[in-house]
Amino acid sequence: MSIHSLGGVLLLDVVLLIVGSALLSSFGAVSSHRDVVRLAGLAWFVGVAALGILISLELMVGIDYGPITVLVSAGALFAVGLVVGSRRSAPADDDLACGRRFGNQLPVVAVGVAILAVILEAQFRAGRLAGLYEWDAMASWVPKSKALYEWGHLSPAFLNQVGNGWYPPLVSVLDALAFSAMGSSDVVTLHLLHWSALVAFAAAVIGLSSRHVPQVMLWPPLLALAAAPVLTQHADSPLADLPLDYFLSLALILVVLWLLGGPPWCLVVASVLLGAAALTKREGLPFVACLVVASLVAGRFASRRSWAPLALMAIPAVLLTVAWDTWIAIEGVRSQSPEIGYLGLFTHLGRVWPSVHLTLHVLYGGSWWVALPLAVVLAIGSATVARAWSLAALGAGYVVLTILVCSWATLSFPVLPFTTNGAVNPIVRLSGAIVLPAMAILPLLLAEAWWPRREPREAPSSGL
Amino acid sequence: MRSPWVAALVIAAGIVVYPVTVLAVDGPPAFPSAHDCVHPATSDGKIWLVLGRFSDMAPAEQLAIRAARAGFVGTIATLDGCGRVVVATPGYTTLSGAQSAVEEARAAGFTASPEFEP
Repeated sequence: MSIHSLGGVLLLDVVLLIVGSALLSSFGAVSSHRDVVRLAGLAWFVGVAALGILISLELMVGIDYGPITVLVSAGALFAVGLVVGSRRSAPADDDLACGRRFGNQLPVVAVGVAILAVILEAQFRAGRLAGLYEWDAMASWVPKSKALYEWGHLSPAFLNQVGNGWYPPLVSVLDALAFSAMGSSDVVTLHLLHWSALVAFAAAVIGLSSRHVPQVMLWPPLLALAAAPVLTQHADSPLADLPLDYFLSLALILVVLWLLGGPPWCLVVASVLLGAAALTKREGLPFVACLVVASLVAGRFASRRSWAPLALMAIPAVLLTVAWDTWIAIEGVRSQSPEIGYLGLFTHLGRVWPSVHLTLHVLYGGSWWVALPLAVVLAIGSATVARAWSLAALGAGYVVLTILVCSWATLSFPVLPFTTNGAVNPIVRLSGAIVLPAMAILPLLLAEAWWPRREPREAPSSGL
Repeated sequence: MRSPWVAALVIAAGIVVYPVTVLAVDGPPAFPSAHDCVHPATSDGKIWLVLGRFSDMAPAEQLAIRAARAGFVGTIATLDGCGRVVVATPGYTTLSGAQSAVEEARAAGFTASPEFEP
């Protein structure tokens, strides 16, 4: 609301960038100042993931949240990143970018950046004085963040009072970090933290993809996504859905890059992001499973057929979910399993098709995502025609599996009506986990299909 | 567009066009302050007697309890929507009635002012 609060959000952004960049350096992802700038968006998310996971674990073992905890945690992550990164002598070892020549792309980049700037500025203006109108935000996420900021811990009695108190804590931790940086629980300016996530997401997609795809294949899908109705309506909201989608999207891009011959750090960073996804929402783990299974299927068609690194990528997500579930069980926090039970599918067969149909309707029957899901299908189809089997399998596998998971959300709670009304069924917000990651890899998918690499590769570059 | 300068100009134009348009149409941006939640009563209506505003809940609750003991029944301590806690006695409908209550509050040792309820 005030300049002071705006400065607080900016300060937090800088801290997350610094921590994330140091960790990326320790993973071997950056070896020059140019890499730091190019991967700044990814660094922001790595910072969020690492700091969010660490503080969540601290809460679980009984360490209270507070300014000292935040400073020590951020400082420790930064120090570890710096020390490990400084001991790395070898530069990042990816040479993917050398496989293709794209010619003069400056016009497309300039126009793309200019349009994206307008979209982001409009989103900033909408978020700067936005009220807390989203039910989940006012009933669950923000009260938990306020509790952390005011009391320093999540008391089981409190979690049993708020809506979905048993949901994982990462977004509440992130919002509490914003309150600490702002110096008050300013729920208005809090929207700008989520705007920062949108900016970082766009920057991360550009930074990761720009050297591997022609700009004409990168910018139109990115701009279309940034202007999609679901994104423009919810990008500033202090909810957990879009942060989950961002984590999944960036992890999926990194998996694609690894499958195409990228360096090992791609999967390391992806595993950190997937761990954060599992601590973001209850639905995080099933979506992580979709991503990993689709990756394993795609791996069968890729030059790299090793399944072990792809399977290992899911371990942080599984362990963090087990840790949180154990904590809420020990503390006596009431959780909620699917109303029909995990095998209730067979006793509720009548809900199966309506649930799937509702998901498909959100994707293809309304204006929520405009034509983006259709573009995804066409891109996967074109990749199949061009025999880019690996990425076609990854895209198709991920989309099909996540459609099933989203449908399961409606199916498993008979109390949810078959409607797109967000007040009673979260399917529209959930569908972001299908569309955002699929759109994020769409440029790579198109490039792999229609912009063949030059063989043999030329001089290796120093970074991804 | 071979020159990087032209590209830079296109990007700069994209960055500048939106804020310039907004400034031209809406004027300079507003930065709401705590004062925006203060609406002094100037006529009859839904009025409450504001006894104070605080940064923290604890002193506000103490004042609310003290006011209730002094006879200002129904005094509450609640968030005012601008980041502060307001202590107020609601329930007045006429400005003259609220101004009489201000005098009674002064006599009881409180500082009070009639404001429109949000």
